[in-house]
Amino acid sequence: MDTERIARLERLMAAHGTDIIRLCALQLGDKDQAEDAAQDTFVKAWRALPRFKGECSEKTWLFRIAINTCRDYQRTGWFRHMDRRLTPDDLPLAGQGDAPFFRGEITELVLALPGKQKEAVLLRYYQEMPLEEMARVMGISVSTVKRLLKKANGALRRKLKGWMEDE
Amino acid sequence: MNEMKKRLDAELSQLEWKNEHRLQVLKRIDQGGKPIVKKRFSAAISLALVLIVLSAGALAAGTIFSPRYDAARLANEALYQQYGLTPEMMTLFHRSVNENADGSMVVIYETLDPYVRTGENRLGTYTVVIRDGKAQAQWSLDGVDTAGGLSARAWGKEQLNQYIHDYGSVQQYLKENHMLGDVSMGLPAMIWEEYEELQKKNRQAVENAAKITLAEARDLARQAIIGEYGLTEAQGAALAQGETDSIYAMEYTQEDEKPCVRLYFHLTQGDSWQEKDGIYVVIVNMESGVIEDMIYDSGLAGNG
Repeated sequence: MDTERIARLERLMAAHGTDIIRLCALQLGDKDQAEDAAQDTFVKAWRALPRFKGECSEKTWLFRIAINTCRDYQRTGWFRHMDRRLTPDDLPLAGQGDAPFFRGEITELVLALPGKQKEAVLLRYYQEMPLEEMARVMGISVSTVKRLLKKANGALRRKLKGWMEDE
Repeated sequence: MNEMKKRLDAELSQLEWKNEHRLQVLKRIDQGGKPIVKKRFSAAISLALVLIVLSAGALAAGTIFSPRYDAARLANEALYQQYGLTPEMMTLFHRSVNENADGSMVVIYETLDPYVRTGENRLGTYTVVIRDGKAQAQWSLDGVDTAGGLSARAWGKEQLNQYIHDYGSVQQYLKENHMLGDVSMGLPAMIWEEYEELQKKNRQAVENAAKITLAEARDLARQAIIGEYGLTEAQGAALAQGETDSIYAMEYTQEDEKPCVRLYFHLTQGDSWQEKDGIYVVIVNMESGVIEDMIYDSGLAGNG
């Protein structure tokens, strides 16, 4: 095994592992899926490492892989068969099964956003990514990123007081 | 740090990248970076499965199959390669797996068509020995000429293909040549009330021992079918399984005293039979989450 490549991967996992798994959880709304997707992301990153020449930050590059991985998961028949109608209130009590992976209204609000708006909100406010980098990660133009953020802000503002918006 | 990030981090504080995630990634890279099969386990069963996997000396990054099923899979592959059989043709055989004292496995395929019972079973019996991960296959009719259509003394892939795709013509041949045996299936092994009683007993035993839920077992079974039989996304979405525990959807069973459910899935893609259509039976160990066995019945040859 290429030890230098593995060392780079280890550094990426240490630096971004938690951010990636949380991003995947917010994208997919499921802890187990998020763990699988996060692991998939790093396996793909390992494969792509020889081709990565630093044209963007490592974080941007990694997040792009994670977003695409989550999109792949969302396209599968298995994912569509999961009962997405379940809310945290429907989940079993502690000791009777898996506990929810989150506790709080912000997470619920983000989970409820439509796909691309959710991606935009997570990259902008959760990962504090500049608009140009977001465009690169999402594979869209900066103007489209701004449009998505505006729509998402509108939806969130109605539900959340003291919301931090884009300047 | 903005307010949203602070609050999201607080709300997601239980979700962190851990050493077990890192190890899974490294393990998969070591194995060639195979794609993960989606699973959904409770935390308790995850640990139990890791222990089972480690103790078996096997590395797994997804659905876990029993050694018996792994042997069956290798045996199936050997028959596909050596004799040109297909999964649809396997419908004509009953498969049994036995373990020898030296750890090798013997997989035997015997015809289950009750009409071929004339003392000259032309389908023969396939036997595959699995030793050290390698399969050696034999056919009871090896060396016998398979040329000449249905009149051949041995029915190989050509005849099996006809058997499953043109069942009527094969039945006609058997009838004309007085090869049809006694069509009576004999008395059932038990009456319905006895079967219901057995199901109640099995259900109690399985529910007492279960560490995964039925929903989790269904998810595991579904993913195993999709992965093992290479179903497309559309086929996976069309795979149907009854939600009630009728005998056509599931049964409680104790396979070698293991608490299992036998789940039945159906794939019907259109008005006429298409590749991968049929019934998929998955036996899931409700204590460990291991797939104990899987059977595909194409429903061809009048068998579905």
